Formats: sequence, structure tokens, C-alpha cells
Amino acid sequence: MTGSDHRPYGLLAELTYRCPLHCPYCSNPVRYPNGAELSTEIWQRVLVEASDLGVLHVGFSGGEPLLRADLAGLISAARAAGMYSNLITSGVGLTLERARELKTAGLDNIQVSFQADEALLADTVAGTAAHALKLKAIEFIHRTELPLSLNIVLHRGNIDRLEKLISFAEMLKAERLELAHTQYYGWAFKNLSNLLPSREQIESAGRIAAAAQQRLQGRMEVVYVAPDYFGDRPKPCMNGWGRRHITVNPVGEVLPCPTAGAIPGLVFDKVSEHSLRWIWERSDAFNRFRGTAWMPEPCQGCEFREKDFGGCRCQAALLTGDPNATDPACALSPYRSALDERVLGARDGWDSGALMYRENP
Amino acid sequence: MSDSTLPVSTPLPGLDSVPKISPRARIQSDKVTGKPVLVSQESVVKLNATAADILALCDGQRTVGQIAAELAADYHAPLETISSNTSAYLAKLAHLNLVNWRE
Repeated sequence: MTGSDHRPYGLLAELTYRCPLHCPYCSNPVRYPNGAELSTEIWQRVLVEASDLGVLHVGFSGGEPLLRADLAGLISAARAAGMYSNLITSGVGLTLERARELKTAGLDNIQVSFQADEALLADTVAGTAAHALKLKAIEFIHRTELPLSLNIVLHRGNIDRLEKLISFAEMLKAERLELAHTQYYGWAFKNLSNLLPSREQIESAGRIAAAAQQRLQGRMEVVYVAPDYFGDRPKPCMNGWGRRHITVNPVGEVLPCPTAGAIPGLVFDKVSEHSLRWIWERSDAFNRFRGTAWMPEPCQGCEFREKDFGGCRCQAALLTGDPNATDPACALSPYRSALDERVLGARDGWDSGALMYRENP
Repeated sequence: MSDSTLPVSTPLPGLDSVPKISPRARIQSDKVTGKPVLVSQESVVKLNATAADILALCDGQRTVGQIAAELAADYHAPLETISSNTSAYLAKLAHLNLVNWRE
């Protein structure tokens, strides 16, 4: 089933579900899979197998990957296997000593999440007093000369502060700033009515981000991840199912996308039972939505079918109950009204008291 | 998931600009093709032989003019052509934030 068009470039290594933060838009599953966290030895094998499949960059994520004591060793293993490594972290728990250890291990980039530009709102969103600890982490990152990216998830509680968020990232001397609209799966889907911005807020944010990209060109890269619910075309999710990306979750299940666990009826093979190559080439989960043969109408006859790949399977499953359906983010989807109802049903204000916070396993 | 970068125009580096690869990017060998690639957090750029030669000279010391002169000598090619191709290629990578330069 896999040809030259199917070659993984990226591996997301989710090392643990444990996290000191409780963000209400977390992409981790609402119901965690059973099983113990993978051992260091299995992760080392997975990294080598990923490299042999063609993977060129690894994102170490979680939960909070700093909670794994073997993190630096795994970064070294990725480097030794010829892969670029990025650490996706809250920053909470980073010490100067740990930053030096990660840098020495060969870490190429560190991506720190921020919830807001000021502590009160940030800590409300994180569900814990994390903001001050993150600022300490940034100081250690600069002292270690690790390249810094910031990721700020946008929602109704912080979108009106976008200019301040961008200035904040400049002040922290980030080399890259990702302004990512909340993706409404998992915890975020539970909180959608409280997180989804209005169309006016989205349009204003798009203009502010575009101006910042122009103004900061050459100094700070500003990446604006567009929202799903307000456009006419769906995102080309994962650049095609089972085509470019592999996620390995903390218990060793291998998924074509980080949130695929939310799709009913999919069974994920485990790295403790199969090689990564076997799973990539032969597993049912990776083959289920490869290519275009699985597509229903209107995707099947659509000129965009090999551009957006029918959109996002998780979103189709969440909004229509059918993971085979055209992504309702597409204006051509017969289920578009399911999405438009969510947009109209969102509240006007921001009620932080109504947030459902992410829980640890 | 996907991200979209809105269009931004990038100026060309001048002959006196000193280019270097972004600290967030690294040249690696692609195990599948055996060819060099420039890898960053979110992107993989395949490098042909000329591209790899240009980046090998982007050491934060040489100017664009010096890089072009060395390549023109190596390739026995006209300096003007190599200069304009080198500038255009570096601007393309700068647009992707994989290369930057000081004037």
C-alpha cells in the first residue's frame, strides 16, 4: 500500500501524558489509553526505526516531556540516528543544568508554550501557576543559547490581546512565534462553546498577524495557524493520512495523527509488538484513509481531493459521527451545518469559570 | 494539522551581505535518497548540488560576492549569472527563515 508518495518525514514522540498544566484545549485524549509508559530501550529502538523509514525530524512532546528523566538520552539517540530534534514543552521544571544537558545532547530547537502575555490570564488558562516558571525557563534557554520558538494557542480568552502576545514574544527574543488557533478535538472540543472566537475576532486576528509577519520579517518568524471553522476549504490534514507523519503515544500506540485516537473503530498497533516499518506499511490504522479510494462524494469527484485529502478525519468523526465523511470544514460538505451550528452556538463572552480543565491520567 | 504562512516579500541580499544558515536549521543527509537536505522544526528542503555548494559557503564570514566568485571559479561560469542565482536562492531560503544575513 505504500509507494514513493508515502514516506514519513516527521515523528511526534509523545513521551508521557503527565503534565503540570491543565490547559482546557489540550490535544491529549479525553480518555487515556491503558498501559504503562514506554521504556527508554523501546524509545531508542523506535527512533532508529523511524530514521530508517526516512524520518528527518522528531518532536519530543507529551504531556510534559521534561518529566521523563531519560529525555536527554533520547535526544542523543535521535541525533545519532541523523534526525533533527525539537522539544515541545511548557518549560515548567526546566533548570539551567537541564537546559545545558539537553543542548549538549544535541537538541536543535526548543518550543515553549505560553498561555498569555501576563500571569493572571495565563495561569487561569493553564489551571496552575505556571507563567512565572516559564519566564525562568526562557532565561535558562537563552543562557544555553538554544534556539527558541514560542507557541501560543489562540481562543476567545486571549485573541483580543494578539498585539500584546506578539510584543511579548519579541520581548522574550523568540526566533519563531506560532500563533495557533485552537484545534477543536479532545479537551478543546469539550470547551468549544467557551473557546471559539467570533468571526469578527478571527478576521481582526488575521490582519494583525499578517502585519506582524511583514514587520518582523528577518527578526522573528511569525506563523499563523488558521482556524478550521471559518474558511471554505478544509486543511490538508497531516498532508495526507499515513503519508508524511507518525505519532507514537506514551503507551506505544502508533497513530497517523496525534488525535486519531478519537476516531471510533480504529485500532492502533503498538511498537512493543511490531516494528515501526510494519505498522507504517501494513497496519489497518495507517491504511484506512490512505490514497483516495476510501473517499465518499463529494470528495471522490473533487478537483481538490489530492490537495486537501478530504480534510481531517478526526473532525469528520467528531462532527458527523462518521470518520469517512467529508470534513465539515469544507463548504462542499453535506454536513457543513454541523459546523456552522457550533459557530453560532458559541457564547459571546469569556467565562473562565466554566472551563473544563484537562486532567492527568 | 497544518500551518499557513501568509505571503511576505523578501528582499534580495546585496553582494556585501554576509549570509548564514539559521541556528534553527541544519544540513543533514537524507537516508532514503542519499542527498543533502536542510531541515528545521517544520520543514525539509531538498538541496541540489549547487544549493549544497552555496550553503557550504554560508559560514557567517564570506559575503555573497565572495561566495559567488568562488562558485563561478569552481563552475567555470559567468560571475554575473552565479551572483544573481546565488542571491535569488538565498532570498528564497530567507523567505522560509532558513537563512539570514547581515548587511
